[in-house]
Amino acid sequence: MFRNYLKVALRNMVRHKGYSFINVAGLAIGMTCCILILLWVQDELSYDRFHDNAGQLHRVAFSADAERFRGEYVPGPLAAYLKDEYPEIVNSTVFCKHSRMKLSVEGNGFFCAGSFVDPSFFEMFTFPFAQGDPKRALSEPLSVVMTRDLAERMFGRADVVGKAVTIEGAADLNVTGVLESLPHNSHIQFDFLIPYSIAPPGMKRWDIKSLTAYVLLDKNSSHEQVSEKISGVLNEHNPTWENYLFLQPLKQIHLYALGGGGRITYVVIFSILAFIILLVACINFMNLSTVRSEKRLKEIGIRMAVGSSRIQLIKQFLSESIFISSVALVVAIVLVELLISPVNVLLAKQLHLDYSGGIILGLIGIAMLTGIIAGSYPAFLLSSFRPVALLGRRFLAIPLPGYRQRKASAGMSRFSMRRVLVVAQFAISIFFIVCVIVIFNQLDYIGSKDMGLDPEFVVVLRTQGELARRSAALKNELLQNPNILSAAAVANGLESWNSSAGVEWSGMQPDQIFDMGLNWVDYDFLKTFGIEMAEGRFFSEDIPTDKSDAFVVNQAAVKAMGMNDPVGQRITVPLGDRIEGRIIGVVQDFHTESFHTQIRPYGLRVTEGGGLLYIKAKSDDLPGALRHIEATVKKFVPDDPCEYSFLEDRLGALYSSEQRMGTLLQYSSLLAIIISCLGLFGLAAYSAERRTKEIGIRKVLGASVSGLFRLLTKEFILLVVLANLLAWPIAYWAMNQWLQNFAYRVGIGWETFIIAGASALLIALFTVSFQAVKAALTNPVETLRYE
Amino acid sequence: MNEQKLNAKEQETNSEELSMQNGVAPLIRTTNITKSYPSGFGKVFVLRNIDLEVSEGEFITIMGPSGAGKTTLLNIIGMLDEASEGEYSFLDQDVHKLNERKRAELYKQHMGFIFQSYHLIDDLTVYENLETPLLYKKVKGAERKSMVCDTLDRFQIVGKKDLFPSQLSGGQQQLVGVARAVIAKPRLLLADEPTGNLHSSQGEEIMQLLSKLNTEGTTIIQVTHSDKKASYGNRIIYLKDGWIVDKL
Repeated sequence: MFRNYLKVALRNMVRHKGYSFINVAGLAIGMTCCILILLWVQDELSYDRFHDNAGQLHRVAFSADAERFRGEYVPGPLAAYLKDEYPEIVNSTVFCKHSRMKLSVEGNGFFCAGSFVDPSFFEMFTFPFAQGDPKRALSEPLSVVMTRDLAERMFGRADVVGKAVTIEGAADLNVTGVLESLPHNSHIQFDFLIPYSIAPPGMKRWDIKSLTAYVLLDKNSSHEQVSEKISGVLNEHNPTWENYLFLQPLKQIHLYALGGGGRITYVVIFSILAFIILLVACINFMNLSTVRSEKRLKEIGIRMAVGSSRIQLIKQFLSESIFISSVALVVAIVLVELLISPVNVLLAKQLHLDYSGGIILGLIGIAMLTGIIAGSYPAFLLSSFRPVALLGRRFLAIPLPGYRQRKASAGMSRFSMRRVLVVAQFAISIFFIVCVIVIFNQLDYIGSKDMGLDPEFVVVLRTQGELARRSAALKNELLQNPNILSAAAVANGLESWNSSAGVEWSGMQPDQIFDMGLNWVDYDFLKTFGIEMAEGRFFSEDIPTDKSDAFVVNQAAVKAMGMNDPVGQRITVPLGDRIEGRIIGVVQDFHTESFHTQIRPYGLRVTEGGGLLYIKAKSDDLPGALRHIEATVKKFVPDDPCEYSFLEDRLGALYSSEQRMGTLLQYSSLLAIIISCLGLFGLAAYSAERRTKEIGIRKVLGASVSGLFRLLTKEFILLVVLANLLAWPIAYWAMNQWLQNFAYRVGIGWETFIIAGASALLIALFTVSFQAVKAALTNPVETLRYE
Repeated sequence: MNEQKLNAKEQETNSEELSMQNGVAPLIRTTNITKSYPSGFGKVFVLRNIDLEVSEGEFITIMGPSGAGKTTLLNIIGMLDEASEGEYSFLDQDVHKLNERKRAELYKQHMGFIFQSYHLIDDLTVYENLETPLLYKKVKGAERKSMVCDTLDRFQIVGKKDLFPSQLSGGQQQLVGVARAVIAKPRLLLADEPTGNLHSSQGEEIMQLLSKLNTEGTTIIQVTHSDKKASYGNRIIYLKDGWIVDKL
């Protein structure tokens, strides 16, 4: 039986190549998109699951400020303390996320990401060793475990256990282990690990939060229970912090941001997107199948007349559509293989389609699901006709009464479900177009909005070790070159707002508690970034008290403190040993973080050496400036590589996920439109074919070509207009929600909707007109031949 | 030819006698069958109060002008359509009371249909067209194959088994149509103007084939306009405006 169905399906496909092509192409494009997105989703969901103990591993985090803030940095001794005090915690280790250290071998220095960890690190996490013994690797103080990639970078080979490397030019370490390359889907990333026992004293104090901590719970404890137990631990040591500990499961770390939201949002959005695109492709299939059904009605009638039951017909049509979707799947897999590398570039991922059991099953699942969704409607519709209506000679004229039986008559052409499907398809396309326009408008706005500081041609040079000690000399040397306009040493990066702390001043009201971001900058700060003063003056080398007793704050800080005449007022920041000073000036507000947030209070202190050197280059010879920077750095630290970046890029990176989403949506909308047009093309072809006789008669009666064109396109244009009216409010709502993420955002103008609607309309018109023109130009003698 | 007619006549009397005398239930009995469609405020009647009895082995012809309801009656008997009112029993089962599944089962087991325009499935070969009813009857592979081969042989179309309907002449197509209708050995063969689209000589052949099947025991009901074709049968039912009448 099944073979019989398959034969008919295959011969039908071959006979109607055009329809088959549209059907398979539409489904294949939809599936390709769906598979790619699902690969990405699968990759996102796979993070940190490869550890043997993944289910029992947790990160220690804390909430502060009555749950308004959640952080992950905790004091170093906390990890060991928790393990000793709580029997549920079987093991624990510290880890530091962003520490750059210099390792050198035979005079060649390499900056790499290293971390202090407890020796139990390898008992907790599953990072396989290429060489060395995991149990003893970090038991000696002066030992180091590095990844295969770093070993190859430093030594040119991987078997380096027993070799010595120098850290920060200070101590020699013995390589005790080499790890296989870290899986990319691990949120814990590093180049090398060294024992926590040799960490600097600052990392071992209870009053400085400088490290993250991970714990391994025993199998019978839940993280909720343990979270409750350890909640007060930090307060016992530092009551003023009002920090409460809790545990975050390892598997959630990548997807769920501590403060709420996180990548899970995108995982959900894109999963829905994958489904919608597949749905659009299915709608296409349904549409084309139902319009093709008139051609199949005879076959259905015959099958009923030779004894087929309704169920058997449904089975036939379902197996037919599953067959077509399987063909589409094969095409889709080929497309995925072709597209995967550009997509990886776009997403900054290393996705690939491995043909393991699970994936194969998933793919077959997609084909089955698509086949069933796409085939169910035609199957149930077609099988519900009564055979007599399909075979009777005069069936067009007989109005059949029907409860289950449907008219297989001229009513087919007026059948509204098909129009509903076209409207749905176009509504989805228009929705996408609106989203793309709004997202790119917003990104444009971000790119063009005055930040209050000028990031153009600013090179960021990280100074550490020797370079940091001689930063004043380095700066002087750099400024010798005419291509370097100015340079400023700054402690914290200008793309973030950090080192925040409360501010106290005389006359402060209890309800005026706020946090102020702090940064340490040098005298050339204003000049380098083109920041303007609003009031008072900036730090000056000529006034010695500026170094110890002066603050420059931004306008937001003045507003937060409610001061009318801020210059001259004294403020205190209780950070470390309390920083005190007089406000000597107010700078105009400038952005120190992404446009997602309002400009927050910010205070500056003066310093001469910071970890970062911002170098303003002349616009006309950037390569010259860069050559000079490299040469100068080499002169100061000949062993070390010179690593720099551009402030503009670093600021742009703040919006990388938006940028990515915009690009993805752009492609998605393109695909949705292509698929929709394929469907519309098929429908128009059908409509023209069905009305051949009508067109012939009208022509004989004197209708003009343009009149016929209007006749044939009017129907579809109305559908697209309706789709617009449906899509606009939904798109408006969705984009409004998305824009709420930005403190600084564009409005959604009516032009957006007009552009989206008009482009959809034009594309539809273009698609339909091909068929309409063809039909309108046909010689009536040919079309009326058979009458 | 004459012999056949005589045979048929004999059969007719025989069967009538049988059903009358022995009280054996007829193959088909309809009581008050009416078919109507709502139209405006009233109804349009296609069939009115049809009382009919058909015994096993009969060859009945339904005649009448266009629009008299011939095809509708045939379709109702063939369970492709339902009556609006009245009772219909087939092999002592009340068809009007059966659900769709049971009715389909009954139909599948006992009926074959021949159409004026052949109605072969365009995408299937002659062989596959013949095979289709057997597939729906769930006949097993080997048996199915032998049945199809037997039938091809019997209708002398073995050489055409791999051709598609579009590669055959009208007469050949109808031959396949008849072959398909009888392959599952139905008790009742329904033919709606089986020769309407054929040349007279091709039509002759098909009619002879039908009477041969009838002599072999298959009950046949045909619809036709032609007196000549009607003469192959042994009883004629005249329909006019939905009523059974004695004469046209």
